[in-house]
Amino acid sequence: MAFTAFSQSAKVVDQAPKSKSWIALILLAPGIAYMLLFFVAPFIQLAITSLQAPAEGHGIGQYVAGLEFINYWDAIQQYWPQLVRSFIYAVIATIIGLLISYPLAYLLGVTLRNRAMLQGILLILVVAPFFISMLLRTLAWKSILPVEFIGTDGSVIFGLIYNFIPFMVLPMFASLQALDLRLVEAGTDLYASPVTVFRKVTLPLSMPGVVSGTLLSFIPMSGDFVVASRSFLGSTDTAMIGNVIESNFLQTQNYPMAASLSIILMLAILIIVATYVRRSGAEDLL
Amino acid sequence: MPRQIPEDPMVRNIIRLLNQQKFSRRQLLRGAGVAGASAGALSLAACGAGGGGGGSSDEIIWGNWTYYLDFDEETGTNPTLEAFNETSDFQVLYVEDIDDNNTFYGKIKDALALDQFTGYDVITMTDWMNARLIDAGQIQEFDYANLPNVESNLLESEWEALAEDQGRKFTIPWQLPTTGWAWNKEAFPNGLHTLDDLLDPALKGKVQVLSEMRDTIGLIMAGQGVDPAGDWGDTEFDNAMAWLQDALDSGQINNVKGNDYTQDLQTGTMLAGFVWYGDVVMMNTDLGDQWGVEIPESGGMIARDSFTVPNGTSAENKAKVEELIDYYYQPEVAAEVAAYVAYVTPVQGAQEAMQNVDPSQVDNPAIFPTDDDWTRLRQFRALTSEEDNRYSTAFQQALGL
Repeated sequence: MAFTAFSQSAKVVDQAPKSKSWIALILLAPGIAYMLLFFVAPFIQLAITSLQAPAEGHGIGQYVAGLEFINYWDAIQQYWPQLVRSFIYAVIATIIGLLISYPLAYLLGVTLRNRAMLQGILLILVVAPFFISMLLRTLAWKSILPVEFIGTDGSVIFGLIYNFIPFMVLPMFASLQALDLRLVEAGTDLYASPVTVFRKVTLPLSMPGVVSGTLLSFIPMSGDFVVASRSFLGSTDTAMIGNVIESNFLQTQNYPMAASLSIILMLAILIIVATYVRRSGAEDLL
Repeated sequence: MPRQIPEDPMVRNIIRLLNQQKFSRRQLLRGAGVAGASAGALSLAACGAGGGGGGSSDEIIWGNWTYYLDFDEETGTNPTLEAFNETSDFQVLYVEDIDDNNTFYGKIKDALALDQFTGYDVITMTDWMNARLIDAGQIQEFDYANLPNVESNLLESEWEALAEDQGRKFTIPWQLPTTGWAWNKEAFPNGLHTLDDLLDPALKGKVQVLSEMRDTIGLIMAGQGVDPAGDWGDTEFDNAMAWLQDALDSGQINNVKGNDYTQDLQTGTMLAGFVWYGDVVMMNTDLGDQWGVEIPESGGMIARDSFTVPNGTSAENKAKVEELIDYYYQPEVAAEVAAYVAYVTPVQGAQEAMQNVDPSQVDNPAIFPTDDDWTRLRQFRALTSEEDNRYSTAFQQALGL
């Protein structure tokens, strides 16, 4: 009897994790299915496309299955200036955006913490641009900015900063809103100057927000193809890699080149982001 | 015809409104109409993706370029199409979904390749693209028994205008856009006489050319003494590209644009360059005679946007499309359309009919080129598939892409 009981309980112990794993699997199924359908499958298709070879006759948009790894080399060789330019624009825009966003987030999350009304109004102002299409907002700047400025590196960087600032402000605001002000007070009590308190207390505690905000803006900035488009704030001298990918997909219909560039861009962003997160000590975000 | 602006039809429409810098009721209504129609087209395209059928049996779908059909600002409708819908026993759903030949082709190419319904019973892409569809066997032959007006009223010059479609079996012209050059009269009073006048230091950084390769390279070639319709090859193309590349590298040309060049003309960002002739003629009418515009002595470009019926359109709907096309080949109807769209009409008798429609347009050279204009208009020669690929790639790379 005791033995039986023991064996039954053993059975129960044995089965418990199984049933839990089944439940976990069922719960995860929609997410896994979503990832398989909307990320893995398109990515595999993209990888296959990137290796295609020109069809006989070299007609526009005509490619056949192949293993043309040379496409990647061709893409880098042909478009490295646009690739480098994209990251330079994105880095500059991220740094300037950070210098604008952090004080704004601090104002919202710390200074106005006890003034809900004002904080709410300012938050609405930060979020309000999302209610209008990014295309239209960018186009509006085209009318506002001096015509001599349009089509320059400056106008493209300006457009990137403007469009992605809300993505930077909101995570920083969330981080600073959660900041325990008693720690700041303690720092002051221990005779630290305001600068030291900021450097030793405020900034480290808000770092997750800074990292999230910069990533949320840097990644889409790198692949952006609206702002630098000739129809918006760019010119023939400001094309970013996103514009090149769009042109190869839609204009010249060089699908292998476009797919290769997309994968190269993805890998480049992954490497940059991983390095950045590791250096900033926010691995939890990965 | 190039229409290189963002994909979203609503946005495209608003961009054009901004280009014209006026928000009239007509345009706002039009914006709503375009957005609604596009949504409808999307849903219909989705319905039709299974192939074969097309839209419903009492409806056909016409995919066209933006601002390519007469529009009444009072009623928010297309009068000529409205009149057709009232008298025919089926309805035409009109959607302005074509903004660029390449991107539109990219959207429907898979359905075309599978002979499935593309989402449109009839489309009006440019003839060089239509030639590609003919070569691929992806569009249907018209039945001229259903097209008496086309047979009697199509301009003589148009029957053989497309090398791949002698006799217009697969394509029937809808509009003929022309390309020339324009300059700001106040800022550049001397005007343009030769291609190299665009390199005048007074115009530095204020010259723009068009993003449509055939228009820009065609005009440069003509300016260099090469007939774009003639038997030219890589050398001539490379010479034209070298001229363009030098002008871009030196900063003489500050941008290469699609339709939105009109906004730059108005703001003074562009003082001279290549333009779609009708655009600037209409701008001069609307905004005062600010620009000189002409088909260059060396030669301007003419293209054709033509009706085609994809293989995925049912036989029943093809007959309805033919009824629609034939209706638009009545001179009075063609004149009514031309008075609004301001492009060359391919319908004989439209100029006489224009006397009753809008007498002020009878001598509009954008709609009715003079005999002298016709002698200067050239068509970009048909390219082989391989040439098309190579030249388009070279042109895009010159644009930094």
